[in-house]
Amino acid sequence: MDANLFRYIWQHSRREQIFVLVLIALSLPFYWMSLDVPKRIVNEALQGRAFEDGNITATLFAFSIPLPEFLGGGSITLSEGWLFDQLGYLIALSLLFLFFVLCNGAFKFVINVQKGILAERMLRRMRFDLFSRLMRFRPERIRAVKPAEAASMINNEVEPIGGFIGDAFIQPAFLGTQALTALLFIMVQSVWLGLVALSIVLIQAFVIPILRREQLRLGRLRQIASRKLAGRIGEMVDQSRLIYVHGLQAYSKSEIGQRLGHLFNIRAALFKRKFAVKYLNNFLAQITPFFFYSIGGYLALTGNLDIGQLVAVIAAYRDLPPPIKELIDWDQRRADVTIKYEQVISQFANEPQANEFEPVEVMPGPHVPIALDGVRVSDQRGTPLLENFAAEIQRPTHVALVGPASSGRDLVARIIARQISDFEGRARIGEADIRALSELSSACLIGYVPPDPILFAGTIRDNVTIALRHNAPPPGDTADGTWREAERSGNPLLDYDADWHDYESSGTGSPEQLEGRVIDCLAVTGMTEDLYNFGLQGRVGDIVTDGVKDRLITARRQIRSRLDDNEISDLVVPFDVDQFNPQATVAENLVFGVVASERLAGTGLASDPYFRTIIAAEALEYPLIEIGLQIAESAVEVFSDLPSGHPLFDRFSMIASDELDTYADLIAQARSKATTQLSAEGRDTLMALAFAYIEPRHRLGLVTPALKARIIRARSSFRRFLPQEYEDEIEFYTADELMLAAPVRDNVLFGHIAYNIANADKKVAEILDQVMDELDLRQVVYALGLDYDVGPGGRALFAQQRTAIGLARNLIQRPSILVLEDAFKPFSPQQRESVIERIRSQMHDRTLIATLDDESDAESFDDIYTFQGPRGRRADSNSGRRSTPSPAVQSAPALEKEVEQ
Amino acid sequence: MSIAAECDQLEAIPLLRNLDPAKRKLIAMSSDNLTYTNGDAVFRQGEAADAVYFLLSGSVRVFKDTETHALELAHLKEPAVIGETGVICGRTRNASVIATSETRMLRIDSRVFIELLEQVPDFSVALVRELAARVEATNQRLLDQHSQS
Repeated sequence: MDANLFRYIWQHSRREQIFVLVLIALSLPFYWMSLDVPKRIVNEALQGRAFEDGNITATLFAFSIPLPEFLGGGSITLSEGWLFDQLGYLIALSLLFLFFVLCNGAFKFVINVQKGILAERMLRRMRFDLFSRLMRFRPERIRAVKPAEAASMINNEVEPIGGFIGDAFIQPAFLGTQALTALLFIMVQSVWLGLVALSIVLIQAFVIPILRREQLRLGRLRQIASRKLAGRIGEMVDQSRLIYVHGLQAYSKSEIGQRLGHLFNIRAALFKRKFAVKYLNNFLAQITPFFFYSIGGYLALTGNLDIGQLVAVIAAYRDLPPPIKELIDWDQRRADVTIKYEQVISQFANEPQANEFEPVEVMPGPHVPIALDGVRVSDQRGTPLLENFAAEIQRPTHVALVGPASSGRDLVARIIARQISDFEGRARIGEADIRALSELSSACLIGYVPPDPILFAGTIRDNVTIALRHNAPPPGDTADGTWREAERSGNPLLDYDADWHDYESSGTGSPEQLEGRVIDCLAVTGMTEDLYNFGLQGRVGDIVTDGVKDRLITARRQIRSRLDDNEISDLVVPFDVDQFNPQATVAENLVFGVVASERLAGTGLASDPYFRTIIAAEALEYPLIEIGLQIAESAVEVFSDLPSGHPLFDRFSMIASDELDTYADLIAQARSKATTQLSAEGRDTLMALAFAYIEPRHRLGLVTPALKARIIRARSSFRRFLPQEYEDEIEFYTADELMLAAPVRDNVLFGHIAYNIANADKKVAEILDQVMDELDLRQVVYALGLDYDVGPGGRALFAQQRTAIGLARNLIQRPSILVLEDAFKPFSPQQRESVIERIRSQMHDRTLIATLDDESDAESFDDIYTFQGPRGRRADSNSGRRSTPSPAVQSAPALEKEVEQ
Repeated sequence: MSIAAECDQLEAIPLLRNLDPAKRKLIAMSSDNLTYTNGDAVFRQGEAADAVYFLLSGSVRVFKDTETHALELAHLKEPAVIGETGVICGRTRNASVIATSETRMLRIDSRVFIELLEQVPDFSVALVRELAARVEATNQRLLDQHSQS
């Protein structure tokens, strides 16, 4: 990127700038004519100069080209013109003036829209250029970048620069030439008077705000899209190691390009609206002279108005100050954005590329050894972190780097995984320097699992399969407007929504096979049970087919039958239309079903007019608001000290961390005055909280027998009077039908497990699992479990689950070398042992390098290096170790079966 | 039983006695209140240590399975904490715990328990003190046995 803003703009938008400048030049004659015609109206039509010598008609629109003397003089007639009487002459000239006014407005409209689009295109390019530079940072440097700052720079700080880009050349040219033209004309005429047309201003004050509403809506959309873009860029910075390890630069760029395209479309629409409003504004301003010329002229001819007054009004209507003022504003903005641009560029400039080596596209074979020789890493003060380390790692092999956390072991792992490029000595795979491997080569060759792997907001499936998104789709056809615009902005022509999966590298050939492979990899990393439970929490509607539907209904009957046979039917409280279900939420008890629409989800039910009518009819409104208030008080008291997004909020499940302040305000309002005085929104919020309450789970002692009886009555009314348009929004509990919006577990149990009976969930799970296996539903549930949303940064999961997903993400890619840095820490010792064995089995013909705290975990590894502080050496006891894993290490399919059992 | 009553009972547990009341409420709200009948296993030796239990009412016996028989290690009544060492050490259960009457306990998932330790320093310190006191008591007992022999 050029350090000079004006050069950068000119380099990338020369054609568009020239096009607009030509438009400006073309507009000037029309502008001149719009100034000149009024003079002719006054002089020729009104004062009658065209009708001197007693002529009752005069010629208008006669054009001829005078010939010079050396060509014999005379002229060439292009148009003979038309004869008009004085009134006709006046009308014709007035219409001619109107024509030039329209032309001037049209020129302004086109110039402004072009200018806006040009600015947005350049802003899109500038943001993309900055993001591309960020992706090329060295791993050490990108970790030092503060995500919020980078996102702010790319998104917010360049915003005013983008706004200025459209004006950079065009504004001074446009305003300057207009001002000069007007000035020249005025000098020629020597006439200046001023008057304001109040009536037109009043019309403008009424009409323009109405038209601006859509403009404001688009402005809000733009703000939201900008904020989302900033959030995603921030997240990508957090995920930089993930992107780097798996070579997802192209994929990530495609997503950002697409988001920028969406933002562009909003802003293009905004500009069209904005300048349409401006066009109308200008038209209204300019229509005044039309009325002055036509009606005022008519009145002057008929002797009802003095011509001198009319001319004074017309002349005063135009003025020079607006363009001069705007030119001054432009100069101020120029100074401001030039500084901003230089500051932003300096943050991204002079950053070396990912490495200083010439990238090499090599793929060292599976037997090419890894050699580290004299490797030293020091901190900024020169303190050695890794001292003169040497190792020759034959491949394939399994190597443990054992030592305390933050000893040299982690640095060795990071060097091999290309997470550190700033070290002395040599690190090579065969003849290739590790630092010189191209991004794509290293992504295919080396997998890396850091401590607490990076997860992004999305499903488990997406978090695992992202490692395979290397297969860029064919570039978009630039005949399509979307792609043409992307090309003009220097953005990628790759469809972010296409299937990017590299099935071959995962050993699969289709999405279905890939799904099976994802489940297998998660089994290796110990996620099977969690995946199954997530699946049981998933919506039936997302998986239901005819075959699955019948099996789920059968499962429901069989489970109830077996619970009865085992005399544990009390462990699942069934849905019974005549009974209050204490294990269900208050809302569930009121509706006796599940909400199937987004409109009624969350606080939607609490604010729904029909539902509120039923609640009011049963006098439940204020009791429920009081329950909500008590829940809020408990939550605010207990959770206010916890950091935002802490898993304990999910455990409580009723209030999100970012809602605590809202509830604190509501409590203060409610306690300082009666709950009846709360705003409608506040009442809805508290009632929604009461709706989510389950007595045995939350145990605040808020559901009384009287309340239960009222809820049962309200349930009956709710169903009886339900309007027809609500039928698709509520699914009532029906013994022979699935509730598509409800979780699998609720569907097959047709009730809720008792929260307060010890081991109820385990005892029920035994029966549930048996039946699901017998009906071959387990795989269906796993697949649904893959759609579980891990939350922002994976916060909806525990550390062990996040690590399991990070491991699976690398296993699915089947890298030749897999580096695990402290990846087993979240697992318990028993889990750790089995997960290590299963991963070793998966990697039996490839190289595994893992850092471990304890040498006892490393006993089965082929080679061990031990570390104390910055020094590391090969363990003596490993000289006779195997170069291939023990036969005791079972094959992957056998292990998966074992895991499932 | 409501959270308020549970908090009162938690206060009787030495480990939690000096905690801020809001923190005791946090523990209660992060737990499940479970009822066991006589003979129900709270957990068995060799199982994964997936939770910590606060005994609110009733009683339990703690057994260690040997090669020949089950050795009773303790008979616990409220108030008591059960299963915390297994969770902290990441080990499997080294003994079985069986309810000997209708027993109510607060069960807190091991992962939530660890999160609480990280988030509530007072709780962590109290637990460290409790464990240190037990080590000291064990040392004293060994010393007494040694001096007697």
